[in-house]
Amino acid sequence: MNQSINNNPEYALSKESIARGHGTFPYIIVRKSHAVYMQIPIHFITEKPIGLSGLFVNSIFDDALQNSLYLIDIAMEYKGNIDSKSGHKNRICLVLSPTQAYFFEEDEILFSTSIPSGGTLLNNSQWVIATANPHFIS
Amino acid sequence: MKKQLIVRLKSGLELTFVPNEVSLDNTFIPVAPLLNENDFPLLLHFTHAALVTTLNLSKMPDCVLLHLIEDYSPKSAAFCLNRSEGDFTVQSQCKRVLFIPFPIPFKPSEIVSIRLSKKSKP
Repeated sequence: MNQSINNNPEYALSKESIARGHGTFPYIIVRKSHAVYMQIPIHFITEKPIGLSGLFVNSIFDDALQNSLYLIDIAMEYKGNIDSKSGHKNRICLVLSPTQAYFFEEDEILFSTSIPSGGTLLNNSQWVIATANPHFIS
Repeated sequence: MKKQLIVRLKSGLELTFVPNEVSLDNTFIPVAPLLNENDFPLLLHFTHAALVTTLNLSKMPDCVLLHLIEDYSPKSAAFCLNRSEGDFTVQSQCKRVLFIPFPIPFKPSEIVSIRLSKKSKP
């Protein structure tokens, strides 16, 4: 995997990461540890994607709003998979906009107008893709 | 202690919303100004004795309205997706309406029940 290394203490999502789909809503954030997050972009696709990373969902709709109605099930299925693989319950968050997030806590899914931000952001290959910056592109 | 509304879906998943509640005794309500003072999710409670409340949704951000009866059970839903500058109103026969910002990650038709939780949150 071709990945540039950035040694700056604070940096935003690179063009390379953005081209792979990072920073665009909707996405899932997995809390790896204190202030360390992994971002999983969600892509609704109709054909095989090229150059994107994240979670791919086959969709029959062109309309993003129609697709959004399935996101809670998609996030729950993803959480089930990573919980099963890791052997413990992961804390994840489904982020829909700069002011909309659904936090999957111990026994509930809690809506919040505050979304995860800052810290160290990883992609699903465990590469650092941003630090101390918002997790989305404006 | 803040009021929590637990939305249960057909899949068994439960989503918790901690709404900002506003009680009103008017029968015609411009909702957009209320959102200047209160964040989503917004819960309006109508205290008047009339059968119908008219909600002016002009200039509202996109959202979903869940019409709730007195025990918070859902009665119906409406999508507010403003795409023009024209005025836009809806009427509700329910005494409570919960406004959730769009997009929502579930189908309103998947809602089985909504209940009030007394559980306190830190």
